[in-house]
Amino acid sequence: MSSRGPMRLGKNYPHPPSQQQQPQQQQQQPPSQFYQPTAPYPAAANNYAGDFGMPQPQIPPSYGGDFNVPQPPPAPSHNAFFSPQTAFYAPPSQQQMPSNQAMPGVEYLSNNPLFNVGLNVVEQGMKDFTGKTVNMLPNEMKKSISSIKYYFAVDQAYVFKKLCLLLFPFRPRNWSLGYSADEPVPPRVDTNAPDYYIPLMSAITYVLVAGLVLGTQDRFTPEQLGMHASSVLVWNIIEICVLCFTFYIFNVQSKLRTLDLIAYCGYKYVGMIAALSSYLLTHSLFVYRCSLLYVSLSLSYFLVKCLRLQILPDTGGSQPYGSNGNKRRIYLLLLVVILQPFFIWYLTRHLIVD
Amino acid sequence: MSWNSGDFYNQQYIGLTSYELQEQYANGNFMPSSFQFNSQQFYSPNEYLSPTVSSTLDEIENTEPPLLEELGINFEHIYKKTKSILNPFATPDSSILDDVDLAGPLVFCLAFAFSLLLLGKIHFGYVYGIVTLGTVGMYALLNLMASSDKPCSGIYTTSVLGYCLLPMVILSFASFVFRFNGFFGMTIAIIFILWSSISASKLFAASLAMIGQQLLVAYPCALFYGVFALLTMF
Repeated sequence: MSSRGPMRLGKNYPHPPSQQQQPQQQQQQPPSQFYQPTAPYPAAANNYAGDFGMPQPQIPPSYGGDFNVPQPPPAPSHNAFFSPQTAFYAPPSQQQMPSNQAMPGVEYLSNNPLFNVGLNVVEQGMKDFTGKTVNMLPNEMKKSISSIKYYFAVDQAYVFKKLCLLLFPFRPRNWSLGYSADEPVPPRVDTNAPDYYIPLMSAITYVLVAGLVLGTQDRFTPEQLGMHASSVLVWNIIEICVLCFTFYIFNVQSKLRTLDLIAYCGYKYVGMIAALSSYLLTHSLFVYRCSLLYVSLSLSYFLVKCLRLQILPDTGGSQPYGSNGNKRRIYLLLLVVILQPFFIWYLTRHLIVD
Repeated sequence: MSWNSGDFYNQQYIGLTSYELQEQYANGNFMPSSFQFNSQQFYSPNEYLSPTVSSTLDEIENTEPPLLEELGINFEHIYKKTKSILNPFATPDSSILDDVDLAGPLVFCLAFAFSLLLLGKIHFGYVYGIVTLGTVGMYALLNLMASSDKPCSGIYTTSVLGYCLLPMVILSFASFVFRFNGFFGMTIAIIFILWSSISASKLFAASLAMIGQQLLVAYPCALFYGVFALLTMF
């Protein structure tokens, strides 16, 4: 597995202009949240949607982004991934935003919407009060939230293309991942990049479609929804654990991260939904088995093409991970690819009634 | 006064009768009028003793906001939001976008659960669980997907998702009257699910400024409302 550590933006990646949100937020909160005349706020784009009760006006100007050095808000350096404008930038221009050198781990907090307000208020307050810097969350958690956000930077065109690819991957195309300054490019830019939106949505859709199939067979109770959701979760965890353990045992160093592997293992739910829908529409066992076969084939082909470049060593060029263990890598790839159809069959067979 | 015993026992009361005394004290004076001093020189307690009682009550009533405003229930906004949901293809009124209230969602969730009672299903717990899980999941997903400068709060997602439950409430009341079985029933249910999810995603995308992601937000909303349709139909 990768030893790269959490993902960071390269220096040459284009940064968006620094955002002036925080100093402007102080003066905008009305004194009462009831019956305000309905003019939107002057900088409405910068407000938290629907958030009134936050103690914004009391935040001193050094709020937002940087807790140790009282400067104007620094460049949100990792925001380039997640704002729609920068996804379509040309190859990186050389503009650099002034970045603070203090506490590089903390800047990932600065634009994290989940933790922005409460944590910043508390941390700033503690800093004012005691003069010491207090970290409410460990740095690792903040970094992992931002690296998960990478997988959700998708848009409609990407999702559509990926779904078509999952169901028909047999056209000749370029399967290599795009990189920008040694960092993987977010999914909205590169169709080959893994994401979490499709696996998550298709897993939940599988639970619903299973409920639908049970409903048409008069076997539905609301507990079934919970049971299917639990089984999805547990089988996913088991699969990821088995694969990570196998990677460790085989001592295979590859560019594939655990988070990527979770994404690739989640694509099988699309196939499951396709097979179940075909059964739902036709109520025929033969159609179900044919669709199961087709979905297994296409998913295996897709995964082989995607993972081959990441697990197997390069045939030419530099080989940082060593060329020994080619056989092990091939076996590992085969394991990943064979587990998927097995799970598709196993998680749908109890729904099929002859 | 003299200490002669005869005078002592034979004294007549000279002075004010009790009625006159009461009059004097009723005006709020501590001391009878013969002892009143010139108020310019001395502290006179009169002014501090008798604020009229009636004006105090008026002031108290005037400074308190009315009850509905204090509770945050703004019927005008509730009506406007309900109207905007009933027409999913009209652009939402920008004045109601930021108004967050939970009264409407609460009413709609309870109405949905009660309509399930009409169908003979006691699923209050499931409705509550699904609303909670769906709201938390939607909150997490929106915060992960949206760009960082516009986070959304959990209360806002609850409010939007709760208001857009209205078509599902209509569906479940209608399924008590008609029987939605088979292919026709599923088509009707799908139409109502699409209606709800388009309204919800329209509100989310407008207030969170998501470009090119409205369908991506609509799909989880469709899943959320699909669970309610499942509860209604099966």
